[in-house]
Amino acid sequence: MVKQDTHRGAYAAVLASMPKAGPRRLEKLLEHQTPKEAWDRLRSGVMPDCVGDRELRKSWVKHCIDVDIAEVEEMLNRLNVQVSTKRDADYPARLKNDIFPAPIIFRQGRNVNLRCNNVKSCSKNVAFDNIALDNIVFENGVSEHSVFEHSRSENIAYSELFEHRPSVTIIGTRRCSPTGRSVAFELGAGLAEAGIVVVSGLALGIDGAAHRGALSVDGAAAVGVVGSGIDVVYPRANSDLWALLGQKGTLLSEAPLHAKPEPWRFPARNRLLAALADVVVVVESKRAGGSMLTVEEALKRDVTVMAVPGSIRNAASVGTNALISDGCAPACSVEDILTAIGLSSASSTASLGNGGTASGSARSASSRSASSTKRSMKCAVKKNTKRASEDAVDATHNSVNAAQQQVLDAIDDNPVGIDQLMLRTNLSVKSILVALADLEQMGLITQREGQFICVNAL
Amino acid sequence: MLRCFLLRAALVLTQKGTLMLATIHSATLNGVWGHPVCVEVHVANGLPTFTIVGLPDASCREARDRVRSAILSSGLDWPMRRITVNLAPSDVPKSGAGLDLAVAMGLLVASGQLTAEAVEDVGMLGELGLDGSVRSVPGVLPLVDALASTSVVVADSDCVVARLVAGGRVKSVRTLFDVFGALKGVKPWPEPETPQVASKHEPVEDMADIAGQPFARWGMEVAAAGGHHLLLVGPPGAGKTMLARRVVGLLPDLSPEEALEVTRVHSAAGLTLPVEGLVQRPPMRAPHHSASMVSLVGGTSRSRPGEASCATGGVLFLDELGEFAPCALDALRQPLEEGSIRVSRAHGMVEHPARFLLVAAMNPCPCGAGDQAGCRCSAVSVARYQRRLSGPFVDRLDVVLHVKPPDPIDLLSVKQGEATESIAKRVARVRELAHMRGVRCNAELDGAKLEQHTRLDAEATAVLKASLIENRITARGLRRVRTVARTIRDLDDEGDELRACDVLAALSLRMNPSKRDERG
Repeated sequence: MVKQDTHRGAYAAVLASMPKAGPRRLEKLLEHQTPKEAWDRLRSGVMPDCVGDRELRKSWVKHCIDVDIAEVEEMLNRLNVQVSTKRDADYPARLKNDIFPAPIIFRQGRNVNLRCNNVKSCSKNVAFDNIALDNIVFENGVSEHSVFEHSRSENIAYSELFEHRPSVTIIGTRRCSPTGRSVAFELGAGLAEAGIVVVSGLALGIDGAAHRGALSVDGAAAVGVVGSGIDVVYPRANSDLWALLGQKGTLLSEAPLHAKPEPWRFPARNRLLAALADVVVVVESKRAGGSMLTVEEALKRDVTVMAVPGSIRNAASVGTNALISDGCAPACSVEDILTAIGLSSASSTASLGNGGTASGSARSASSRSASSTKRSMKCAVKKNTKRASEDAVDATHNSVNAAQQQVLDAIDDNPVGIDQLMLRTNLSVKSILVALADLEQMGLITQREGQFICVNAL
Repeated sequence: MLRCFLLRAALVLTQKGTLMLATIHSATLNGVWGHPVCVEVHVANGLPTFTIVGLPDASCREARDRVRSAILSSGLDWPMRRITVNLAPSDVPKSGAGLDLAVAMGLLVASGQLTAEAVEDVGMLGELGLDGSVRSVPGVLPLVDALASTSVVVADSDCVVARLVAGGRVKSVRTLFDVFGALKGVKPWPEPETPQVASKHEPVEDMADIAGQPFARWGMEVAAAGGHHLLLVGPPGAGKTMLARRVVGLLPDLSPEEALEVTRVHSAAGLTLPVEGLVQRPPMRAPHHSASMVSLVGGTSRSRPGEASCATGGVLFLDELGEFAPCALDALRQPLEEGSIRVSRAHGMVEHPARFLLVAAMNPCPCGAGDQAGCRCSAVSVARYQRRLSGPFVDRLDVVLHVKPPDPIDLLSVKQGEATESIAKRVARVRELAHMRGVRCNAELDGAKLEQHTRLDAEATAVLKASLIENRITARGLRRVRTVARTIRDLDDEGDELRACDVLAALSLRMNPSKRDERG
């Protein structure tokens, strides 16, 4: 019995890695039997009746006979990957009754215990998988091994993550503007601080920025849903983020280990992104693309979709602006999203204890003023999160000299080239270059392809 | 050596009654340098044949047919005997038709139609036509330079260029019979055709045509003044090519030594030289992006200089940089740093000068639109496009300018930008300062000179130190930033020590390596 239990995940992993074993076929295969039973039957040569193609059925049988279950088990342990099916307690509850089932889910990373709703204490009562335990180092340097119990209750806690705690999926284009990047970061950070589970797809651009934002908050619940196998890092540029999520957050995938990032896997991944969320927030998107597919999936599931409005000059905001004109609610601040979930500033203060939203009521008043919406968001995030960079910005803000201030005033929300700055400021090229270099050093502006944009104006 | 030959020849003469051996001085091209060649012609009894030995290439071996027709057309006698031509030294490959005239004169001497004394100490360079006319030879300048003889016979059309290095030693001729008659003493050397009045330089494209783009103008001025390599990045139609074509106009005239070097390379490469012979304006070469590595750096079978060498002293303009073969671009790394190309091939090594100013232009991504203007490229294809330029190559580009389409108001305004002439004055002043420091341009400051002329004040040192620690610049980048900062200071107020603002401005002109692939 014990042996069988340790192999539990391995059977499912073997089934998931069978050729052409998509979600629908696996769902049928596992409808009336456990992975262990299915595996046993396939090994004894019983053809599954859920597949019409005889050759494919044969190859499934062959696959189950060929693969060494102990080896798979060893690999799962080495990578610290858990595999769960709908019968398992640690299967994400939100996916259980989804319209498009995901019969087998691979997971790497920690479980967040939600027995307490208090964000502060939550970060201390985090339950970890017994193997991940050694990898985690708390930032305050205190090891809290004694808190954890190596029981199966932690797995139950994992499903509670999605049952009892609101989650928000942040998505957007891979080719985002600097504005979009930092908006995604701040939304990720703000939501994580409010105790919301932040879900995203680990892609370049918006997704990555949202994850980075969420992970910048201690004890945040950050979930990355990926298209490839959990051991296949894609895109490579986000490998650091991938590792970080595997340690401090959670990585989920429907794809078996070693699965390449094939194009068909990403739309399938997108449906999971939608299914896991209470609210889907689109930060920036072109008119068509992966983000829009996720939006469609969300609409099928009656999940609220919100979009961050953008400049009409920003090509990456065309899709989000179109969503808004189609009737989708605008997400201008963390507050807006919290309200959509049903956690208004007042209620969130109540339900989340002292979740760092003491200034909530003041903000909700100021956020009514449309012109200062963006500022207020920045303000909200700054008060909620204690990020060193923001403090540094404040410190350096006072030391801006006249020329720098002049340049800073000339840079607005839209990217500006040096040519325009010369026209607007009447300074010499050299003094503009020097001012820009200094301002960039201070973190007040950022540049991309020779166009400058004010970080502060976001 | 020659005396020994003459003694032998005299011996043969006494035995047979006719002189059977002759030696004529000529030269062949090796890269951009001439190599002296002795053309030995031997006429012996036996079946009438004509053999050329001594590593001639195909066009050189075909000399026999041209020489035979030219001698007969000139009304001279063709010896119906066994003719052997040796091109000494026999281990150096000879190329081209420039040895035709020497072979023909050797034959006339060996067959007794001319005396050996008449051709003693006369160099011969020219290709023969079937009608006996003498035609010009590519690379006449280095060839004449390689000949130490007291007089050199060249085609009339080569006379102007040859005189740049050989002065009065040059005799110009139009036909084979001109040479024969003059050496025989029956008619004087023909007067060289007076070259047409030196034409004015073809009008340069003027900076005044550029609408707006104040920052790009400034960046180009810095690049031209200091000889810093320039990259223009922008969407199609932003004016990259228009700007790049105007860089060469900002450069000052070539110094006499540079002019001679450029003329030598152009002559060797077979390019059309100006009417007055000497190339005085900096050249601009703009090879198409399909150019192969060999065509850029040189080193074909004849070791001809490539486009990079032809651009020496001037501008090498690579439009659509992203479309060039990566290996072709990486081959430019040595000349970008050292100002010369050493090409090693199976038949030997040649060194070509290649001190050019690289001006390159490219789009920010495959579709060209760039970040803000509705780009249709995927993130992956943009990353792939930018990876085409290797890191070390980008590290050698000192001035990277992002060019945006000009403001519509600028484009339609009647107000013209500053003209090339007035910008060129400032550029010339900076170049003059560089000359006083003992280099051609600030970009060449190195070693002790770098330390001496780009001293940094405390604040500037701190800025550079921070950049080095943050890996914004490499050790090579550090040297290059200091030279660019020197140029910026020179353009500004010619002060001695570099301030933080000079260094910061120079740094912001570089492509920041960390900016190259931004992550999510």
